[in-house]
Amino acid sequence: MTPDEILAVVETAVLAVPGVAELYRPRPTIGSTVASARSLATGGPVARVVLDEDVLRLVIGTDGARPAPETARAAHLAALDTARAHGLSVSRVDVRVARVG
Amino acid sequence: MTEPDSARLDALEPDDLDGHTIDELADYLDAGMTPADPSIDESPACQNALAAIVRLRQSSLGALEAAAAAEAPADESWIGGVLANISLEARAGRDVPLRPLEPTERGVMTEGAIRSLIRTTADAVPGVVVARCTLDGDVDQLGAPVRVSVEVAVREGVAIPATATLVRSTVADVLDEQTDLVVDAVDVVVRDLLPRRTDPLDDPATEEDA
Amino acid sequence: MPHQSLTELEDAVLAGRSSDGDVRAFEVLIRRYTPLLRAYARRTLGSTDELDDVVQETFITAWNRLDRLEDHARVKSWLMRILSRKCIDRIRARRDHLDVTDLEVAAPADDAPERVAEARSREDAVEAALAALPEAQRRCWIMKEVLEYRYEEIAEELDLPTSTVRGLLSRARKNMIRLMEAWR
Repeated sequence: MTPDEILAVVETAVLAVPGVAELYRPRPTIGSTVASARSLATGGPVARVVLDEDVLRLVIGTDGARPAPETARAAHLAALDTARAHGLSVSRVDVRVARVG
Repeated sequence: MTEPDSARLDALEPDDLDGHTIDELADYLDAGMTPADPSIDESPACQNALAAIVRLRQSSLGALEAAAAAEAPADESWIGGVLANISLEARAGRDVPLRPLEPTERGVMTEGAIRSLIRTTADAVPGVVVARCTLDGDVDQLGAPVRVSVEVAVREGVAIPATATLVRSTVADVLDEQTDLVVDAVDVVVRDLLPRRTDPLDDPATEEDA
Repeated sequence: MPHQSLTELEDAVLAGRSSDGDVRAFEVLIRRYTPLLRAYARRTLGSTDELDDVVQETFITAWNRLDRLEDHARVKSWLMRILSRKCIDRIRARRDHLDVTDLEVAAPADDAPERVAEARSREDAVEAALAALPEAQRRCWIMKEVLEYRYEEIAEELDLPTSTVRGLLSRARKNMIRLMEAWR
């Protein structure tokens, strides 16, 4: 798998974490999720998880069902485990919570 | 004493205005007519000219407001266009650290997300509308004590001390649950009164009489 | 009240909430002031396709600069100032400079008194009088009397000496007072 394909799998894993409501693009705007959906439809790349050397960066919104710190921790674990399982060398996951539901 | 409307105001030179230029009078008006200048205050010609300037200013703004009433309201898709270009980053504020348990973990929460959380929580207290919320202290340092300040407006008829206490406790609880902030205190300031809502069914808890 | 309406809140509360990141509060401000901003832009730029864009840019800039607004109650005039600056930029882009020859024109249009006299309301009369002023005088008048800029701020905005601005305003004041005498 290419790194981009691995990152796409990581995204899916993060979105599946209970408590994660959204995964934003690195500079989230109100319209970014709309743009993401449009991009998916046209087959363009949607980089919502970024690999910066050996650090994964993601920006999430939580749904409030679970305390946000726990959700952020779980998102980091999901990203880390998934990335490493596919052979990516990751030393750290930076999770930014931009919205608490 | 002639009224402003019937005065002949085409005489606007200093000779006509007891030695003052029209511009001095406009500046005097801007300064709130202080310190008082008797040579203006006691001059009928100056008073007429001042009145004319005041009315002109009011009418200029009034003309614009009247023109605004003739403009169409904002188009929905145009509004959508504005909102789509608004960056959450611009109002995100500082990064507030979450407490890591592993060396691989580095989490933060944006100050904007925390303010939004406080706002939603306090808005849910009956009769309360949040005006501002601020986090004072080194929020970007894990463990640093932070003081939270919430300014609210409350509806007329609401018991203010009890409501302020409820805002304080619910905000403290939600911050405890949803963040890793060390909160020294939550200060609630009641800034404004809002008129009672016209439909009492909107706020059953706030109407004291039947 | 999880989904309370924000539409009745006063400007200061809405601007404060917007500054803290509340998009819904900002949306209320957008709806509230779009007509006024459009009216101002129309009078400054003419009726052009640019109106939608310049007002949209104004709100986007405002959102980004909300922390610079000190008195939230004055958000209306603050928005108009942002718009005014963008309109001036666009006028500059249309031609190389704001027309300096206008600075020399002292007198309003010849038919100004008739147009003012036939106005049906005081507001219409003021509009007619303003429209009849030479452009440089009109611009200074609006910036001083409607937008409440200081003389130095107008000078900076229009890239003119302060003394020139004072001179333009002096003429504008006399012209406006005299023209409005034509209306009863």
